[in-house]
Amino acid sequence: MKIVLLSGRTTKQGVAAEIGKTSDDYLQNVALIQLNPQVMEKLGLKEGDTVEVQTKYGSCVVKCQKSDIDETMGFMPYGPWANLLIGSDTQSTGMPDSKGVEAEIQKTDKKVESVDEIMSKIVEGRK
Amino acid sequence: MIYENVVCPFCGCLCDDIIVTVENGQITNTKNACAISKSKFVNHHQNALNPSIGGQEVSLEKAIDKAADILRNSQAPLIYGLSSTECEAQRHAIHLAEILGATIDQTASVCHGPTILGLQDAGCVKCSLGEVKNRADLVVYWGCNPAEAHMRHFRRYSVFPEGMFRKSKKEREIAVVDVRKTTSARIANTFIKIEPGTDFEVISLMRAHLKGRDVPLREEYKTLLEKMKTCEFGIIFFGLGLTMSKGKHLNVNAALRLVRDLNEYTKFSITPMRGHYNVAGAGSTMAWVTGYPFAVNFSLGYPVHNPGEFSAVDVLARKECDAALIIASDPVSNFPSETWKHLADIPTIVMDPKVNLTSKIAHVCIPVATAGIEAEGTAYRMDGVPLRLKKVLDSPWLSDADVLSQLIEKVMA
Repeated sequence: MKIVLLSGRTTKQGVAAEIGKTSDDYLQNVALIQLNPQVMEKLGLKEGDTVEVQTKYGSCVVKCQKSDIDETMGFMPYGPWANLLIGSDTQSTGMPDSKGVEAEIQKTDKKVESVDEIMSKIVEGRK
Repeated sequence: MIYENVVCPFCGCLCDDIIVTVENGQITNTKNACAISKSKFVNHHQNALNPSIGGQEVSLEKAIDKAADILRNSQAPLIYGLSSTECEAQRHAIHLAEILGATIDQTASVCHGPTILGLQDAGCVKCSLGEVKNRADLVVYWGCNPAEAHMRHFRRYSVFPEGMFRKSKKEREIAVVDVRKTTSARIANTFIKIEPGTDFEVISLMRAHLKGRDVPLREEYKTLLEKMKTCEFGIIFFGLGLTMSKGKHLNVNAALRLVRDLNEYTKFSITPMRGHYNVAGAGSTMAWVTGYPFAVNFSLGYPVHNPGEFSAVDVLARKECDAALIIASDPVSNFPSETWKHLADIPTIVMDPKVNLTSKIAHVCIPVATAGIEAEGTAYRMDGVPLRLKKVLDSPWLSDADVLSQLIEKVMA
């Protein structure tokens, strides 16, 4: 299903980041997407199920959460998972298109990658 | 030991009424702090960074020596971050960039950078948060969610405080314009749901309607505009809903011009909701030292400002730096993933009190005292008011400013 992806701050993300970005609190509160309950029902999702989010720039797996957001949108807290989904073109402003990217979402059995798992992929095969 | 009137080093509200309790060298409690501020104070020692080179723990001195070697041997270094440290450290970072002929950028670049570009063009009708508290009878939040990001903004400055001429929420009209019904929208008298990516169009139509043109503007915006025209003192607080969405600086430019137009009718101001506690200071310090607030390059021996060319995301995406010094920020967490690989490939140095995602891939890690908790300094509030950060604890590490002045000495030696 196609959605418009929004990202932003949440209190829980802020609190968890101050505990530490490698903490379980951070993973639980940042690796997630908020969706409209009707969208979740259409995709056969229960709260806490994993969703694969894909854009033309990349993909990630996060847990889903109910929200009163529009059916056409999904919201993710700022963090590495949301940043796997945006491009680096800034149209000469310095600012990437961090809000309003089109994304495809689907139910998945894949698990959410931890910060360490994501980071080890970047470091793998470095020059 | 109890410290009063401590300035919170988290967000651009820079709340200056925090009470911090220190027992046995640890912060055990805070009063008046929001949930995030409390987490920052109480957990400041958690996940602490240790000095390391290539993942191996070393002495602080060795880590600083290695960092100086990397910077000295770099042809095109990038210095990035600055917004979560104090102004003295920022000044040293700019000096280091000048010596190295480096590119220097601060986190506004992926935050309110477009706001700066907008106001370079349109100007900005400003006021202090004190004026808002005392005088504003109409507060419009556009594309921001202070209930989650600037948690005490409502209570201290805009909605609930007892001001000189506005005594309570009853004497203020609160409007929220956002793409979703946020927690902030729930306390507003008016909530307008805007379609994503249409801010420029809507604000431009509002300007045209204000000038008496017959334009297809939705009724709810016309009603809001009428309130804006007829209030005694209005303010727009705006966030990344304008700067990160399609249009970026043009969205902000339009909002700044709308406020300018409204001053034909009444007193109206506009203030960006700055995120990191001293990101406003990073812009001010860079502007008074180099003439430019972000995205500055010194390779010609003098400062050149060009967003898109010397902004950190672009420099990294185009692989145009061969070393990076990251100060008090976490680009791997906050930048698009395409830029992470280059940071991992080049020798990256991280100066931070805590382990973060960038320190995980960095070649050299230098732990520092947390500014505003373990080091003093100056920070600028979102409205441009400078406040003095307090030191409430000793740190085993040097401050950002001290590490940077050592790096300057070593690079010049």
